[in-house]
Amino acid sequence: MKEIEKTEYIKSKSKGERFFENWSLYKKNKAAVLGLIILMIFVLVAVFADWIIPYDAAIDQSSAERLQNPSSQHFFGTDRLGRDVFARIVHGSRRSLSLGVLTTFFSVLIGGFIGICCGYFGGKFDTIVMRLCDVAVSIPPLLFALAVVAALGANMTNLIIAITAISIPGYIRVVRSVILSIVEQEYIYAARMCGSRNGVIMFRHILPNAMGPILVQASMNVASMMLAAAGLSFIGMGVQAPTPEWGAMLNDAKDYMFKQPYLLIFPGSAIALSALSLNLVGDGLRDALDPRLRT
Amino acid sequence: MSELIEVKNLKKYYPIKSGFFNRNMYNVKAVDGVSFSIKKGKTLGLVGESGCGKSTVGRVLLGLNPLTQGEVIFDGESMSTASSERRREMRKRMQMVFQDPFSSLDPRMNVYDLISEGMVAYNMVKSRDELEAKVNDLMTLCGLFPDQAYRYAHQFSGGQRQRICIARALATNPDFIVLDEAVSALDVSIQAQIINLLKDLQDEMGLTYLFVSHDLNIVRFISDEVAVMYLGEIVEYGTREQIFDRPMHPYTVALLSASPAFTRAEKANKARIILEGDLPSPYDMPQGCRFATRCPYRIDKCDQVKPDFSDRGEGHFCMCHRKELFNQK
Repeated sequence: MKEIEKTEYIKSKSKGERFFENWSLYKKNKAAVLGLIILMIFVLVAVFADWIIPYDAAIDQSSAERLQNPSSQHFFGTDRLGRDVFARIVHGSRRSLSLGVLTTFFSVLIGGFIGICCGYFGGKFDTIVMRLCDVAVSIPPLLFALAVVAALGANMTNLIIAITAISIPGYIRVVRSVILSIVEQEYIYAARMCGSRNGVIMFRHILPNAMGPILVQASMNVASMMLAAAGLSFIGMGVQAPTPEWGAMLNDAKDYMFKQPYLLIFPGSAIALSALSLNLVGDGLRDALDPRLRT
Repeated sequence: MSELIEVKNLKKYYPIKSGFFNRNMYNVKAVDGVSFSIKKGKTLGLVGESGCGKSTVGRVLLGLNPLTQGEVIFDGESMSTASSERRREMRKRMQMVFQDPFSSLDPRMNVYDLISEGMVAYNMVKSRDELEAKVNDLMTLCGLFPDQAYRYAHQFSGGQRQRICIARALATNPDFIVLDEAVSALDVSIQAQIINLLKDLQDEMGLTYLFVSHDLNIVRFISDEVAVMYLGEIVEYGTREQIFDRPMHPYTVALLSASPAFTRAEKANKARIILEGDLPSPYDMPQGCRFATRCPYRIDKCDQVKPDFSDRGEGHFCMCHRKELFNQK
């Protein structure tokens, strides 16, 4: 016992050290690192789109160059209006990525908060919110988004609002069910015994423990958000016509599926790859941030 | 020597709701009229079989679960009538060590955060240095290595985890600790260490314990007074010597006979009483004595009239009609 008292205990780790520790755990997961690399490439492309290829190339039409195969001049070929598909994918990444990520971010934030309150406080508040969710999911989601956009006007901001709105009920349910299983854990009682107030218990104990399933659900959702945005763009309720956007490109191209499959393959793989990379990153983050998996 | 905590006629019913309008069909009476008091610096052992409501008593006592009826008086102040803010202040002086050290520590928090949580919540420290010093002291006090403060709960063994739980309970400087089966999840050699630690802490800091357990040998070792619970009621109450050497209630006698004997003399004296019959349904309790369905000494009166919880001399209480049964000294 005497010797113990002499030992100087470790001072708390600095933010840098914690980051390094988390990173070294994250990089053990090779798939997650791959996902991060792909995601970084997409982000860089979106940021430096104007340096890669001028925006004009994405919207300039040329009837002489319609529906061309990939060539050294047009890496991914051209669409039915003779626009360069490569340029449209590069510039479309800005809208598609921000649509997917922003809508997911907002719906996780709002849905998560309501879900935590429902699961933690329960009672009448919970019952009312859950019944409202039932009503909300009984409306076809695209129709609901359509109504929102129709009411607010068609532009990017309203599109984000509409798509966020349709996915919130789903998040409320997922988060609530995760929270319900955590609230009854003994360590929540122990935290209350320590005098922690509701806010501390909700955000320091429950939320970190619920993070895993929420992260996974969120990263899986990005792709479907993009596709929902694409559907709305297709009927003219989202991103307006000449503006490049992956989902809208897919919808544009589907009439040429057999004649010119490249038109589908490139924007399709862009969506698939970005969604895959986000899934991998989400999985990797969940594991790296879980202290139980540390040795 | 004044009473630190007093419990009067504590009741905890769990309503069973069903039917179209969520009507209250019946109540499960987990705790039904329990009263006791503990003197400052003493230990009350609460024993009974699983499901008799002993853990519920501990939890309700601390306000973790709301009580249905009754009163808890802590250091002369009623908790039932206090405002929720005042109750929180009072709870600072009451703590709990939970049964399972694996589930009562947040897996996402390191030991430092776990131990300091209470001190932060009650604004007990002014600076980070002071907090670190306190955590260091508490860890040393409970036999942990302070240089492991930034490890997570899953990196410790069961005994160490229970030490963390104890350090955590001591952090707010309590007077009263509920030990809810605090050692039953540990293996025997570790149990001894933890029990000794608890005893040392009690001597050093003048702590008062409510020791909830089903392990009679440990209760005998640590308790000053013992209460035996059966189906939500205390059936016998007395000092350690009274309960273990001169048990009066047939249930206590049966319970004692079930704990293993170690010495040859003990084995020779031991007559194992095996209880027969079924536990009554928890939502349809018999009118008379609750133990009547299993009691080997049952008489007709037991089925109809509920026995009194009466003093049989020297503060030894027992709830039984057959007063003549175990009265030999």
